[in-house]
Amino acid sequence: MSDPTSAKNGSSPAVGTRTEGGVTFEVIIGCEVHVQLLTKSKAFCGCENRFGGIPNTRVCPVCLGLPGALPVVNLALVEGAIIAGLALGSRIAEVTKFDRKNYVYPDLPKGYQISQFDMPICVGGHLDVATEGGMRRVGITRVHMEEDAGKNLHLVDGSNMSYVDFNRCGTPLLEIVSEPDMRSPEEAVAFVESIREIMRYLDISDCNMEEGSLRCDANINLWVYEGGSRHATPIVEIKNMNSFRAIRSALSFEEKRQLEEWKAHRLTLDAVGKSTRGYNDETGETVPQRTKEAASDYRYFPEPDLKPITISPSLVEVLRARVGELPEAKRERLKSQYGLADFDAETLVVSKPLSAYFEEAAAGYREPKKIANWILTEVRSVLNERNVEIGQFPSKPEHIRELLEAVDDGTISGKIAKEVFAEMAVGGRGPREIIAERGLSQIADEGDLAKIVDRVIAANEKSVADYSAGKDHALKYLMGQVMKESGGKANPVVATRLLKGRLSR
Amino acid sequence: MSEPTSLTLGELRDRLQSGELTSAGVVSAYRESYRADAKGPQPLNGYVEWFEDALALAEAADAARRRGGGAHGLLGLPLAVKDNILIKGRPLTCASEILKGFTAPYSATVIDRLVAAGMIPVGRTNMDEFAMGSSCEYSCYGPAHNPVDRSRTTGGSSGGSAAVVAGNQAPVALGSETGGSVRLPASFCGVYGLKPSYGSLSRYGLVAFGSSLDQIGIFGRCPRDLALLLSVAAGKDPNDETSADTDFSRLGAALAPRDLRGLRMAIPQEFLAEGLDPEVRRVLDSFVEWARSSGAIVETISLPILDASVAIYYIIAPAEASSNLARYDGVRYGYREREIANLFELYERTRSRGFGKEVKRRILLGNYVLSSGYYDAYYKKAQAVRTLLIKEVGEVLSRYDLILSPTAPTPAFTLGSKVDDPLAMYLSDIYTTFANLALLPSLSLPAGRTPGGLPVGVQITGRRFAEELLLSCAERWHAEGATR
Amino acid sequence: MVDDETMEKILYLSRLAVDGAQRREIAGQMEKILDYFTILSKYDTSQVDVDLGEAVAGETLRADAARAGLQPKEVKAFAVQFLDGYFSVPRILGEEQ
Repeated sequence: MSDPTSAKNGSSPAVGTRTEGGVTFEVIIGCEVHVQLLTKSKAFCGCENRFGGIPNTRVCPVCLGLPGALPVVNLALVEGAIIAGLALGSRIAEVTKFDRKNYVYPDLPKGYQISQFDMPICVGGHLDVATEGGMRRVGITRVHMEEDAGKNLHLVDGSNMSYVDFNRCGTPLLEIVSEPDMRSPEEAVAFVESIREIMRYLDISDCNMEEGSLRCDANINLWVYEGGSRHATPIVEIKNMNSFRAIRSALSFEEKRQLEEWKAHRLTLDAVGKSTRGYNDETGETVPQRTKEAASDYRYFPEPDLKPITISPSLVEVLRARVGELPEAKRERLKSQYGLADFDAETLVVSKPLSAYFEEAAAGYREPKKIANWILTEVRSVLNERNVEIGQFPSKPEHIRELLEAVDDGTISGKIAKEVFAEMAVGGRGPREIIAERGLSQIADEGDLAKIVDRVIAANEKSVADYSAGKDHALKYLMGQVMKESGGKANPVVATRLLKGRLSR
Repeated sequence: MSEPTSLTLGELRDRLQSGELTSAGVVSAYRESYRADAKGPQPLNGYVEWFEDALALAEAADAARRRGGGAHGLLGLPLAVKDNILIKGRPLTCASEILKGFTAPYSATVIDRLVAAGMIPVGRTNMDEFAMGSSCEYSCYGPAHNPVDRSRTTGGSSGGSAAVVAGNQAPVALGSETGGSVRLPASFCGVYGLKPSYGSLSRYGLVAFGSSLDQIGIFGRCPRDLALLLSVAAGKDPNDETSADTDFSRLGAALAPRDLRGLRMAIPQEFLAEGLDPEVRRVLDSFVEWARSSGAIVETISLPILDASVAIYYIIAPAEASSNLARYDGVRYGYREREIANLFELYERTRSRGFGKEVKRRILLGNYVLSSGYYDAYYKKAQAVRTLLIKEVGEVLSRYDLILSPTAPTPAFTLGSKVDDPLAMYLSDIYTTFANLALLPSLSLPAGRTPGGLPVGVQITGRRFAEELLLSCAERWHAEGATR
Repeated sequence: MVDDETMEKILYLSRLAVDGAQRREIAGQMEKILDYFTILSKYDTSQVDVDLGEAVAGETLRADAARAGLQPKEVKAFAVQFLDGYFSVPRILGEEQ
């Protein structure tokens, strides 16, 4: 993470600054996000890459670190990294290599992790994140490839032992490092959520925090503005934030803690440097983590068991074509091509299948915004209820269009449309079929409607008298009765005309 | 009729095919040779284990041959294997306490290929612990002894493999090199030893020491035997990214002796400097005389970068080793210290008890040269000088076909004479390490003896993947020069 | 060059314990070896780009396919302390889950 101690752009406070308890400050946050890739096999061996399973059954000499074993790079790891880099606007390196990161821990069988140090596969990039204060552009420092470690379990079994499962060991990971561009815990959460959406959109990770396929550490400190100078508090790395809520909670706690610490001790980054704290979800607090200083000397050196990898422009182009339209471009296109609002475009873009569904439904329809609205409200409501994706939704996209067309041409009212939709959502039949079968067409025939209108007038003398006396609400009441009498099928426009006509005689 | 134990692999193969010998007979003969020596006053201690079921495997090979299965080129032939190459189902210790109790769950690719060709691994051979040493004295099994003079070392680290071939307890053996650990013992024991080009033989299943340098090597009594094994074992391995797409299969047929006329050999004057035993120099001179008489052009050149070899090697190899040996921690396999109060003690005590002094020294040295503050001055500098060395050696090999030199500055030294002086021990590798650093193939051939009868080897180093040239030159020597 | 503090640090990184007398002996031997390394300063590497070795084209990397690894009984055969399918170690501190 780049060091923000020097007040490069002067010492005057910027937009995100606040003043609390007499201290004017900005919160500076950067995130390191780890994303597990959805590949068939692990990063450096052929073991199956799958969550869970009976412990230590998806292991081999390579991922167990047995004597004599050697890593072999999985093409899908490199492809996944390139795809992520393309989506983030990074520069894809022409030559990249792996390095060994040496440290000791029971879940790290070789005593080193194969990672990338000075020649990461992707450099630079950005992500535009929607925050409460508007769009924030968060810079991406780099994206690199590495392997996951095993899993340690600590059961409360009085045995004073820990248990290690190496099924996860060797799972391909991307590490995405952001610039310290976030200015609040909420922005950090929004950033991680955006990463999650993009990775899921690209189909390279399911980014499930509960299962550990999305993990986040954050670096946070404060810039305190005082008498024309800017002071940086010590940077703290926060680990063990296992949900979006935890990220917000941990960073909020840390922000306050650093503020109090500044007031009490005025410690600066220059003097103290960087430390690590772990978040405790039960207490909502961060606590210092015991790390011996020497332990963080990773002694990086180039991985001698793997050759450097050259990435040709043609490989990048093949992957760029596979990705297709990136979310940012799609969002702009949905807005300009279909006239959709920011929020609707943003929401549709999140899911490739959902936006595809929308585009098919909106094809040739004169008011795409209505289609978008219907999909984002009615259709999504069903999907959420049933906890399924659009792929499992029984109605075809053209059915949505046909439904709205039936309202447009007066065949049914908006209210009836919802009923028809409810049935569509169950059986997957088209709206016209349902309307015909259940005789739901609006009654627009003047003769039929006139009879209903007359019946209602006859049965509601008081309301009629009220209306004559100038009480307009009586008209509403009478219309309600007409709708009731007609089983909701009266065409409102024709019915109103007939009713008014009768009443004015 | 000669004893089976004094025949070459090629000769054994011919007699197995003709029916003159059986595999069971051959393996029995070697077993007897081993057992007789083991009972003697000063055993070679070349084998740390003889596989008792090897005889049964030999009988099975004979049965297969009777059924018409002689198509496997090396059917029923015995092979000794250094104790750092995995053979599925067999113990593997790298001559270290820290791997006592470990049984290999898979075989090295090279073993798979040789076994598929019909070979029978008959035993594990002694070595310096984790291949770190030049005398085979840093072994938890005690040192191996030189068959020519048992008060002397075999050289290391593949000392056991050299001893069993020289001592007629195996016709061929596999060893490994990182800085000379095949060529040095071959020289000390008077046999042929080949270090193939980096990448020629798969490293999958060879316990890693210095990953950018390691190669499995081959010991034999004649160059044809080395060629036979190389022809079967070499080639790309999908399990080893650093393995190369070589094809030496045609070396399996007869290896023709090279016509030396016009062949250009360079002797670096840096290898003729102070420290070279005059008796070794004499053998080299004699070899040069023979080569010239056969038409070769032999010239002395200056290659100052070679003086850096040992330093580069002893920075890079321990650095890689410190990382490669981090996995030996008692968590998943091997020795685990029981008297421990916590996780830290598990690591510290297992490793402190399990590793010998030299291994510890190299791990510490390796971590030192990689640690922050020292990385640039040592590891990075060594890598840069290595790059220079590769370039300058390459330039010489663009003007010459081979680089020629003694294999070692001295003949076999007495046991115990260098164990307490690591730097002196490291300087045994002074002529060999450049070939490992430059990824080149290098072969030590028995060129003569000292007046006292100690073997002296001469090494020839070629361009990358020029194994055929080396072997055919060695074959010429073996056919004509060695018997002068 | 290899003072007590440095020795302490690399012993820790190596997870090795060496007692007092041996520590001094090893430190002394290391200093001698490190001193030998100064020979490298004779060579000018200011213009040298470290050769990382031949590279491999990205397209030719291992195709993504799963294959069977070690069977449970094979793992049990070499595992030192294995309980209910897990490798066990003394309790790891600092990780509460």
